[in-house]
Amino acid sequence: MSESEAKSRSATPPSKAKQATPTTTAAANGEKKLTNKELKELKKQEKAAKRAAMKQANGISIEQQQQQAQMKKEKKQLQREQQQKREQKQKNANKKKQNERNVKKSTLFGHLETTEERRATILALTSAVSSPKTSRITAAGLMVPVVASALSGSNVLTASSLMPVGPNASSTVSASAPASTTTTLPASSAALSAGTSSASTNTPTAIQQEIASSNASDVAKTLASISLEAGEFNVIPGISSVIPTVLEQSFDNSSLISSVKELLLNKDLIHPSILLLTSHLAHYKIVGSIPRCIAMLEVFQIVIKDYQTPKGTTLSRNLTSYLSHQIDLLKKARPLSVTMGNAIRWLKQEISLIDPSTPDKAAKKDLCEKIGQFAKEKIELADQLIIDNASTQIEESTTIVTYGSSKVLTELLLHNAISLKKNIKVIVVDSRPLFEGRKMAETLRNAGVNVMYALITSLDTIFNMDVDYVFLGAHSILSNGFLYSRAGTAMLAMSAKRRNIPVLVCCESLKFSQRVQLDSVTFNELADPNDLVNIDYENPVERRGNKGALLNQFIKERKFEKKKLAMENKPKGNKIGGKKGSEGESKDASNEEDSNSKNILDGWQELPSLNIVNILYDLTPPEYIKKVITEFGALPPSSVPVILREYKGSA
Amino acid sequence: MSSQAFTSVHPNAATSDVNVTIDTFVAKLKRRQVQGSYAIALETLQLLMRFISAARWNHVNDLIEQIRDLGNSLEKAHPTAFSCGNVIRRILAVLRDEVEEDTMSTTVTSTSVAEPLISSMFNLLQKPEQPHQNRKNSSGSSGMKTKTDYRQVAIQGIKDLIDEIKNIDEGIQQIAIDLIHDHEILLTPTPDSKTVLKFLITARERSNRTFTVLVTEGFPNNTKNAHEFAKKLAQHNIETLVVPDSAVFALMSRVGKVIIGTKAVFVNGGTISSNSGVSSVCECAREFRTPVFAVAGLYKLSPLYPFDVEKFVEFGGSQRILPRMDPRKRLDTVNQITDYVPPENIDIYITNVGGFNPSFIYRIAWDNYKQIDVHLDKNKA
Repeated sequence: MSESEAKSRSATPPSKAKQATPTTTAAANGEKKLTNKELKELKKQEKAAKRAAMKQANGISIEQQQQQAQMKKEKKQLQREQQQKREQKQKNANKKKQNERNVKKSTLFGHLETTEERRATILALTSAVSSPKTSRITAAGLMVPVVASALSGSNVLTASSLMPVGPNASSTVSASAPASTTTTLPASSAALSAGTSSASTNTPTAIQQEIASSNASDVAKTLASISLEAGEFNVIPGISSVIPTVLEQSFDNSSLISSVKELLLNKDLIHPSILLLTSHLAHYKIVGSIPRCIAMLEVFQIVIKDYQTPKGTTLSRNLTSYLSHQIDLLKKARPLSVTMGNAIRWLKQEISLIDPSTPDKAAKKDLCEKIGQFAKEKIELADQLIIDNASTQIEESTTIVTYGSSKVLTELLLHNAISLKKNIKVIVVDSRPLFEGRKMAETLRNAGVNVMYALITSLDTIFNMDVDYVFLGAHSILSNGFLYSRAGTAMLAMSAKRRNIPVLVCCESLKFSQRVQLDSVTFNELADPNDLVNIDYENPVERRGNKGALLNQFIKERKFEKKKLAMENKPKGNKIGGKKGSEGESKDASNEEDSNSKNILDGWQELPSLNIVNILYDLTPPEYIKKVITEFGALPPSSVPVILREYKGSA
Repeated sequence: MSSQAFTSVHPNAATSDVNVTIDTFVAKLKRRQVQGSYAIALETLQLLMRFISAARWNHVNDLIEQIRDLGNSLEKAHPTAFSCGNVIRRILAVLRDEVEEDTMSTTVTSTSVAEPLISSMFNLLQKPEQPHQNRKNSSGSSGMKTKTDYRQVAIQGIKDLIDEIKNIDEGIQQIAIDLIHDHEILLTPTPDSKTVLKFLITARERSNRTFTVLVTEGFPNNTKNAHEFAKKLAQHNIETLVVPDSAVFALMSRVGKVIIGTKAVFVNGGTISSNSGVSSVCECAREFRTPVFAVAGLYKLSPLYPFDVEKFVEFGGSQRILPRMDPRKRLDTVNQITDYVPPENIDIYITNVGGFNPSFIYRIAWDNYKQIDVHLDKNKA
């Protein structure tokens, strides 16, 4: 025992022991003029002293006692720290759990990138890429860039009173302004007024009043809250303020963050036309593998025209990597289609073949011409050949079933019905949620073709109507002969095969892919599950109109925030402005709820065991396909790898 | 008796009252205001009960004829509401059994040995022993029976049938739960079926199995039901995936079993489901060798044979498919409301009396119906 004590004594620094002694003596001296609290403390100390005396009587020295006390203290401290740590851990775990719950991954398709993740990435990028001088609207309010730059870093400034304040409410502004935590910095008022006047009907005088009314403490408050917010989601600096809270949750995936960071590093390289194309693709404004490919090639022509070779490199070496940055962004809109991939591969090869000695201008012009030629050769002329070939299949008065919308097929059917004047009947089968077939049916109908439109649920009836052929378009044909096409194609092909109706696929060789795949679950593209929540007959692009899901999200969050503000303001006794505002808002909210509640699945994200699967493609096994018509002629699906190998040079 | 016997002839107050109820029910059927075979069956039985209590007849054959007429008019009002005709045929069978029993008892008294039904091939070629005489005897003696007896029999039969229909889910659940295992992925293309819903919920809660259910949307006619169904399942803590109709083939390779609800089951083992797209789903399942099991209450068994499928499949209006059409540029559309699934695409039927192969369904049907009542319409019979 004595040994261990001696060890511990030597271990503790002597200064601590010295510190402890004067406190006890001081306490003993100033005993009388003390408050209750101190009295209690004194009593404790007395007891401790008594105990010490007892212990001393037992043969333990004061120093030893003090040391023991110190050890006890340390122990307690340690325990406390541990507890805190544990709590922290638990909190973190809870947070993680919540995140896991929020980021919904369906059971079967957990390995695929969700639309939400893609959207978050694009949003992060566009917000970082688009010039910092444009003002942005966030859920917290309008962000005015000049002020933001003045704040250097913490770049949010709310002007949330812009909406409630009407032109004739200037008298109540002073009352409502502090309530709605409106703050404007006196600095850069010119920029502010410019921003606000464009945003609302507010008069400059009202703003000035606001500025006058908002005192320094308010400013400090908002700044504090801003920095807090920034601290909460500083996953990627510079984008924090722009991402709606829902999208933030998808940023807990570390690989996603790193990919975004990587893209952000090269944000200055990205061409604005690529940004535009990305948003078009992401919102399904351009759909179909051929239209997507054409759009991409057109944009590449612009990009190449605008390209300037940096000093120290040559065009043939640098342009490829420059294009890679653009393609990285395009990939984030939607996974590249096979046609796009093939075109990119071809383009990169062409670039590498350019003689480094050719002047940039000539090389660029040459490239642009080649791209145009490629599009013409691989798509337009190929389509022409396919149409010529497939037309021999279509006899007088046949009934043809197609699925979805395909550019080649539309042209083929129009050619046969109008130019060749064959009396054909076309049945366009369609499905939710994109309703692409409607477009095709309308085009054909407007040209005077005998068209019937049906949904995939009525397949049984359709195939009871003396169908002669099924013609299908393709997204791609894989090397093992599987047809990768819009979801639903496989079912149609299967039904046709079971009824001994020949299935023909029209497909440019540009769509041939080296990939092999066995079923539709392993590799696919997930579309937005929210597109399936509405039960109506419009496709998501029509339904959204110009406001994307993001805008809707923003509106929702804005409403929520306003409600929260109103709730916060109420107890403060805000008389006129606050009350009016909250009443109006509650009415608005109830109306909104009414109009929203018609969708049964509206709150599907909150139900942990409910998921919506919206896959875009499926795989049709080669045994359902009678033949594939390409510009090289008609062949069985098993010959796809042959074509790939034989014509690799040209493809 | 003429076919209008129950509509106009009788001056009695009670019968006219019944006639009013019949007319309103016929109107409701015609307007498709009664939805679901369960509701239709129960309402038909209630109506039949009132009809029988108010009916007057001299001979039991008279009563049977009146019920047949009623059934015929109801079937004409809604030709694809099969459960309506089914329950009426069931009651007719009960009555006919009773009649037969009476005749049997009389024949037992007249002839010492009760002749068994032809059960052996040897008997097949034997000369039947004085059948004509027996028949005559029996019909003569049964005429002596009191009428009130049959009223009682019919009403008791109706009450039993109502009980049976109301307790069908229990019987089905017990059999069906043994067919799914833990962590299985199930797919159901008929989200409007209450039997399927109840079965899945009890499988989750009572047997505590965890499984995933894929629900197809059945656009355009059934999407609302599908979404509600999915929500209910999710609220009961069942992993649920809402799947568009087009993705069925893509997902079928992962599905362990397909469960379908039925609207009517025919003697050949085929079924009509109250949801379009089911037949394609079952075809997919067949292609992937995924077992399909159909759940059906006994009252859904129909003694009809689907010679002409198109007669049994219902079609709806175009407004749900192409809501905003340019009137100058019209398109033809198809909107199939129900769907016929052929017997070869169904592996097993789970009814409240047991599980059966589709090829055996005819036998169950003839246990409950009489051949003579297959066609209630006199012109066809």
